[in-house]
Amino acid sequence: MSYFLIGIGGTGMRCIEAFTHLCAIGMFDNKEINILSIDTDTNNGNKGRSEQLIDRYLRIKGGTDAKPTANTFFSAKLNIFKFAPEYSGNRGTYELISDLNLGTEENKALSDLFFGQDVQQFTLDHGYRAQTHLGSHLMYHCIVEAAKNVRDGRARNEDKQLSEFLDKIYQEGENARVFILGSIFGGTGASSIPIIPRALRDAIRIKDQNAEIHPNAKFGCSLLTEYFGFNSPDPSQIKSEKVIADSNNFSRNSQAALMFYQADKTVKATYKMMYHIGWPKKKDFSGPNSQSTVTGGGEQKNSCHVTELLSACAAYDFFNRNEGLDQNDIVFKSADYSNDSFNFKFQDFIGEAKTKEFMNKMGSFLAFSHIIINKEQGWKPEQSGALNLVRKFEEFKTPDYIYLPSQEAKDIDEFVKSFAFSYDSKENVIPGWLFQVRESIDGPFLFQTDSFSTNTRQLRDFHFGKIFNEEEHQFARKGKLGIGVGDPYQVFIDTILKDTGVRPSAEKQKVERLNERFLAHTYNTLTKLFNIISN
Amino acid sequence: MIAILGLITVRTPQQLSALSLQTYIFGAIIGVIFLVMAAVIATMIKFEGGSHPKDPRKRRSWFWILVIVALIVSFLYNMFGVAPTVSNNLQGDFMSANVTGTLIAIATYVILGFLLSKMFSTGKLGNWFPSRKRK
Repeated sequence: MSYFLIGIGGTGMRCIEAFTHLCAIGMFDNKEINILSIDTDTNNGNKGRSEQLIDRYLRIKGGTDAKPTANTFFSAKLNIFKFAPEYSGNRGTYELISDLNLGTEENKALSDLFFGQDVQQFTLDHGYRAQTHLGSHLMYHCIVEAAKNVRDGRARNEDKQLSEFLDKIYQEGENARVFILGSIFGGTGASSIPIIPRALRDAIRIKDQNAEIHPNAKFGCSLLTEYFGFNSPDPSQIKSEKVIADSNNFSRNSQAALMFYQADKTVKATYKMMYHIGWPKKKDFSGPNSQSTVTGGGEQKNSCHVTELLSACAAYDFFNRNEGLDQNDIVFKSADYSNDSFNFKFQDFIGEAKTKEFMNKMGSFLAFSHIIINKEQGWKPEQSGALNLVRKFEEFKTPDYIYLPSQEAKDIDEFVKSFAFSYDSKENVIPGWLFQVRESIDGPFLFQTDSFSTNTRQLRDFHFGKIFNEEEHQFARKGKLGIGVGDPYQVFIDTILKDTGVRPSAEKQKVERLNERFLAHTYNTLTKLFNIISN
Repeated sequence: MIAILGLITVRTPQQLSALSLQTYIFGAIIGVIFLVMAAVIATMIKFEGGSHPKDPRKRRSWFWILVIVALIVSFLYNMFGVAPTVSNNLQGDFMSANVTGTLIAIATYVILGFLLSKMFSTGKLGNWFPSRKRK
């Protein structure tokens, strides 16, 4: 089986970010996953953040020579491809791209029928600004155009990356599983989800007339309805920008999109699984100092949300599912909701069968983050917590991680900070991905509330052996002779240095590189201590 | 004072020989007792995180502090607790036995400490005699 993930637009980028974190905790054992990011807004803050995260993952994994591993952190091998349409210079608006002023009257009349003047003339460098009718048209054509550029020998780097991604889908035939991540409430995702499968098929055929995406290749997608809002644009901004997305229309856009997906035969014939993900309350992404609507670019860097994690888990389900892929099906998931807040449990994300695995891996990676950042002082400037932990092995003469390159250790540090938390120069807590996801929920969230504290002292002193609420999955609860509270760091170091049963296994975990063995050793130790699953 | 009190019990070379043997055994026991103390202290010292953890150095320091204390305890005990029971004409010989017994205490402590350090090289006792760091 071969796995392909396409993230479209700003929401798609944040879903890719969530997916990458799922890969980091080890949820995709033995898998090689090809990821294509598509965004019209090349300077988008969300896009930059997720691509930086994946690049860091790739370095930790060992680059293009990496191999999938199992039962450890960073087990999946990821390949990243990036595509962005060219919307600058003389291709900055629909009017310019379509050469309307040079074309026939019929072309002009047809364009005027579908698109208002403002829509034809706004600049596209920040995306389609919730003009999904325009977006669908342009996205389809830019994908097809990229294929033509490759065929004709005038391809940009982005065109070549898209082409390489398409070649892989074609080569995998019926074994290809393609999942598309994006929102449907008005942005680039909403524009692209309906047309992507058709665009990919047509693009492959342009390169080779006899080539086809195999009819049994499976497509799935997320249907992520509105979950955030922002300040409505004021009249002066509308006058200058002409077209700006208005979050007051998101609900109506979502409704229209869902009705379309329910009725459209092409969509139903193409997508085998559609995962409907909704949210009862909108998060305000206006920002405290924002007086005007941010249309895109580097300023658009929204904080992470639990719906993006749910979308990534939808991709997990699609990639691992063996049944129900022969006909179109829309599935949804609900969680316990009372007193105006959710009470999320692990099985709400991943299903009953994989609950323990998810619980163990997420909890172990969070504990690993606390160890690297707090206990091994990775929070200090110029220090690497991973390297400090490696030096413990040197001091106590356990395996040869002492040759672990310092750059790889620093990448691990930066990744866990992105995953969990870090501190700024004034030692205030900066929430990472998981902390931001937790902030998007009012109720309890999987782990002890204190593990997400934003009070620096409380977070530094946090007892990571008690990450889980259940006592049977806690360690170092009591001190020696049952007196006082135990120190989880002492127990962790003691176990990792002395217990031969937690050493990495080349056979079971397929770990070869120093980095991989070090991560597997840490994973095994925490798995043993939390006692959720056996190694 | 003890001589005045008539507590001198070692008067002959044969008796001194037996006492010397006792002194050597006592030295070995002192070495073991202090080594156990060093091991307990080493275990109680917690692992520290960060780039320059001080816990290995603390364990090594306590190891060598206790060897000096063992030396002092052994020597002073023999000097003030045992030597007064030896007659004056044998004091010189007993002092030699005292020195030897003290050296046995140190040797027992250091040699057993070295062996334990290598046996438990991945544990806290391994800090007593660390391997040279690879460059």
